[in-house]
Amino acid sequence: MFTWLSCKRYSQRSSRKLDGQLSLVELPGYWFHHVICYTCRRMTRHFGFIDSVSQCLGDCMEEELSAPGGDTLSPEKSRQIQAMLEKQNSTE
Amino acid sequence: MSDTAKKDMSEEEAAEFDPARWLELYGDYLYRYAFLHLRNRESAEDVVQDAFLSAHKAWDRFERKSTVKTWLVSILRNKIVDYVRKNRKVQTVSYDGVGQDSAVDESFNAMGVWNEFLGEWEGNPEVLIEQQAFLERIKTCVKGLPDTLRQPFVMRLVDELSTEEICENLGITPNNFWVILYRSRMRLRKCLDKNWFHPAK
Repeated sequence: MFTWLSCKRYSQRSSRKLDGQLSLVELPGYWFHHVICYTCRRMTRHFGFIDSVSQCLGDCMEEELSAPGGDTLSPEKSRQIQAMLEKQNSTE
Repeated sequence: MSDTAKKDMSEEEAAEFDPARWLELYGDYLYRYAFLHLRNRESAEDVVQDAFLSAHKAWDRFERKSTVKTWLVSILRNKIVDYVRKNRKVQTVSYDGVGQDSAVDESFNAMGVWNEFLGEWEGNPEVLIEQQAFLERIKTCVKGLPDTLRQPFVMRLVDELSTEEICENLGITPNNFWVILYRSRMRLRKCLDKNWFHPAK
């Protein structure tokens, strides 16, 4: 037994399905809508695409954080931190 | 750390274990990491300073189970979470609250049916991400997410934290988190569609 899903409700469930959070009770309504709605099937592919790209993006961001020539601490803040570290060292 | 242990290290390793050189070695990396999460220069610099201070105090307890860099990042992450908690606007939405996001809402009519035509996206994600132009575009889309969406999304992406860890860190429920992911996907879908796949639409 299931209730008819709107495209909006389907898109919410589609997102939760990607996170493995769709219950057995919710699945029949989800699949019924999936079969009959061409636009929502396309949206599901878009979500899948975004998740794939996002996983690669995590690695790219790590590279970006380590790359030379990126944003840096301001000289003023660097001096403050260095002074603080030296002060800590001297008090030990 | 004992003198014998220090002698066994290479110069590079020795530098890693010298707190006086942390700023030079990791300062900019930590700053970029903090800025990625907070998107504010002053806040990012302050949390980096707090992290260095805490790390220095805790240095005697460092057990070398990870690299110094990883250890510093974990301390910084805690500082970021503290900052986010202190400055976070109340963000408790139920799953039914999804419709309150106008950027999501405008995609559907009153009956919940799509308001827009969804075109096909051509290309393999793993190939596209290798293209600098596409990479820049998606990074812009992620940076354009509101703070309340971007922070959990980045924690998932960059920090690879579990749902439980993210919820605990941000003080949100799993249901909130699913809503956040849904809104993030919808906004990113729209942003990529408009700015990459179908710019003329």
